[in-house]
Amino acid sequence: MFDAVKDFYSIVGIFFVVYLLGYSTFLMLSVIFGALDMYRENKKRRFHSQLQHDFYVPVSIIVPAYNEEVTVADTVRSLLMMDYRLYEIVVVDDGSKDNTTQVLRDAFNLKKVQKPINRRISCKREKNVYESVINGISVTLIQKANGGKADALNMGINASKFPYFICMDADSVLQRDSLQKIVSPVLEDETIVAVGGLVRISNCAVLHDGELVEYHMPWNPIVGMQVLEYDRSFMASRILMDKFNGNLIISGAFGLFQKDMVVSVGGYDASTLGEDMELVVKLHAFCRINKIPYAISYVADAICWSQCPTSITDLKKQRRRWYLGLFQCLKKYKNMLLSAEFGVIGYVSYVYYLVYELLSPFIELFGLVTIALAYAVELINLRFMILFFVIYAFYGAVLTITAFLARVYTQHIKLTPLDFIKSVVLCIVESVFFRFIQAFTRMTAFIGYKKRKNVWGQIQRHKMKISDAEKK
Amino acid sequence: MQITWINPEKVLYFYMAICIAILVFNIAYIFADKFKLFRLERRSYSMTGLIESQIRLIETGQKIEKEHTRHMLKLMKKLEKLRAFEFSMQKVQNEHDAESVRVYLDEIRKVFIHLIPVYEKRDVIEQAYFAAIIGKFAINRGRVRNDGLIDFMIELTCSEDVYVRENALKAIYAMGNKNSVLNAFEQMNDNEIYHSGKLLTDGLLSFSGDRQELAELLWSHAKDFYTELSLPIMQFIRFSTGSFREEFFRLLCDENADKELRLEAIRYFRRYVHEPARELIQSFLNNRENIDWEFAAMAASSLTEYPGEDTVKCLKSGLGSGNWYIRLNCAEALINGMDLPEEKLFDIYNGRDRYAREILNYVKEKNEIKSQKMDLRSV
Repeated sequence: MFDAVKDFYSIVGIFFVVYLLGYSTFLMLSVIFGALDMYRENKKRRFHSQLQHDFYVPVSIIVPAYNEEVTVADTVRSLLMMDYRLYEIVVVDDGSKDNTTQVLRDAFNLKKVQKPINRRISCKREKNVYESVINGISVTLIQKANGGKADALNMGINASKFPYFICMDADSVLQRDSLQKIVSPVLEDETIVAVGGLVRISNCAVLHDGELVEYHMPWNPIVGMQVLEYDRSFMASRILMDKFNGNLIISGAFGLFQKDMVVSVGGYDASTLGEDMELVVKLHAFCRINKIPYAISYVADAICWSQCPTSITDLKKQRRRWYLGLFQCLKKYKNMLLSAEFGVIGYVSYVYYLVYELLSPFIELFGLVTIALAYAVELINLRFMILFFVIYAFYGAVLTITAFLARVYTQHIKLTPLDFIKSVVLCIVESVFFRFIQAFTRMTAFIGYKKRKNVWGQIQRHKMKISDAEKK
Repeated sequence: MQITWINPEKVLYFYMAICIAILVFNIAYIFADKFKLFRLERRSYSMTGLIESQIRLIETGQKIEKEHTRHMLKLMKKLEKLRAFEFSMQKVQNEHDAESVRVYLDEIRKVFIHLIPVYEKRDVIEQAYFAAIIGKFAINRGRVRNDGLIDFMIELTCSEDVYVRENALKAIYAMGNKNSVLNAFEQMNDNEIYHSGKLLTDGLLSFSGDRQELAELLWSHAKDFYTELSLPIMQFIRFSTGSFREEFFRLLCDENADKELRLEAIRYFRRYVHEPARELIQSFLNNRENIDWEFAAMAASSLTEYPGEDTVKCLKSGLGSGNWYIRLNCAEALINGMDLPEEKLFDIYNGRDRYAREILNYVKEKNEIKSQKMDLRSV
């Protein structure tokens, strides 16, 4: 009997070593490729290896808004100041219960029009359409019955007039040059169907005319840890996945899509919580099944500033939604797993998201239970286990601070010594504690899933920090 | 966790060492970047002095010193010093007589020819930068015969890197030699190089020589090019000259010609009216059920330049199309393009086609909104 237990623990041990080394290797490769890529991009910037044009790719910016009266006017105002010539703004009020529509009508002098919508994708019907032209840029507001973010985006696609569209959140602000940057891959490669931008946390930034004027690491550790987490994700793993056209996610906060291709796949899926990921995976599947040459790209210097949750409660709501969205998406496209038809998407990207994102809380829970049991039957080297955990946590912290510093130099961010100390401390804290918050949220995400599987959960919004000059 | 064949903590130590190495590299890079900026300023300052001394010689009717060209060749083999040249030259251009600067750039051309073997072996970022400098200062401008510099730029247009191609093409356009442009297009065609059509059109429009002559030369060879190359040539012609009506009309009549090229011909006839094309353009709208909708939508926009009862009738019929874009373009053509008074659209406003009515009303409302000319400060 005891031998059987020992054999069981040997197998468990091997599994966890492979599991942790797999994850560590992925993270290390991400950081190496991220750092090399950013070094190269920085060199390109210095030596005129850039394509920047402000009208070659006409773009519709679609802003779905639900109860966004606090932030939406500032968002649209910032969008009107982009360094780009050929674009339009389409705001879709998805049946807000607050004064989102009225705030926008008052702020931008929007007039009611009888615009017929070209319904190429199914979505709930419009109630009212308002339009205005400011600085030569067309601003359209569509008021419709509540149907969720995906439904609002589909309406925006139907109402848009340009061949490319950008999806973004109503509480986000695009950096002034971000349109120029995000369209550049389209000029480089005709097969591009989607481009993801870099999402950064705006809670600790001050913007003036769409440009960053002040940036400090926040005192709120919940925000600070998310800053580091975003940097690690956007400046490392997405760059690595981009190397083999394997990104499965373009953040809903900022992404560019080829409209005809999105229409061909039926637009956003309104029945999932992770409509952004679902669309990208669907595009991969559609293009690969139909043998259409395609590329999904990622641009690290096209920046969108987005608000993050400031409390544990809001953070848990957001992460629950992300996790369930991931679950729904992977379940829907389960045939991708290890399928030759989907190539590297099926062998690498899907496996990564399945093992290290979807199943990780359960694997980690299983690990904790086996450790407890092993301790009970005295089959564990406690000293070694603690040492291993400390090494692993320290390794995570080093990785995060490496990704964070890579961003500092590539984006010419000025940090004070205090910011730097805060970053180092937060890297360690994030590596030890944030993982547990994530794991707990993920483990409990399925509680009440049947009843609340399409419930987003409202997160408290705050006004963006914009400098006084801009307010005037 | 005793695994005999693997020592996980050692692997983690190894990974951590790599990460720390990257971390150190990042920190070193932050400081090096600041130092490089400081050095660039100093180098530019001293190089500006060198160049200005030669400009002064030119201004007094003398030639530049041989020692100067030798020295510049030695300097510009280094990328950072080529960068210093860019900054210095910009400063010199702003502060000195354009003619003297031009003479200096002509004189220093041979330095760049001697730099070709150096930059030929460099990575794509450095090659792109070398081409960018040639283009920015129009080195070789007005040279009729091909030399090493033109040949190198043409060679670079077939690079796999988009920035190298784009900068090399810009350099060729800046030289103003139409045959070099043709050679570059032929090279790209032969090597099946894809380069964004929008970049090609915009680049051709920056050609510093005679655009009409370039248009004629390129069009005479356009039939040999694949569509992605001939389409930008047609677009360049559309923005440059109206003297290709007959050629484009023949293309439009040819049903076997590429769809994109025929659509471009319809656009051309919007900019340059060609009466013989009227009937054919109207037929795209009248026969919209049997052809791709893009022809009808494009025809509706172009017909604004072909007024008359026949066109009005044709556009009104287009308002009944099931395609949203055709309806919108017809409505815009009737209201904006042809400036038709409301009474002439009475039959539509009071007709049974709700979609036709809606789109006309929308175009009218949109015009009212546009006429308000709001800016961000007024809202």
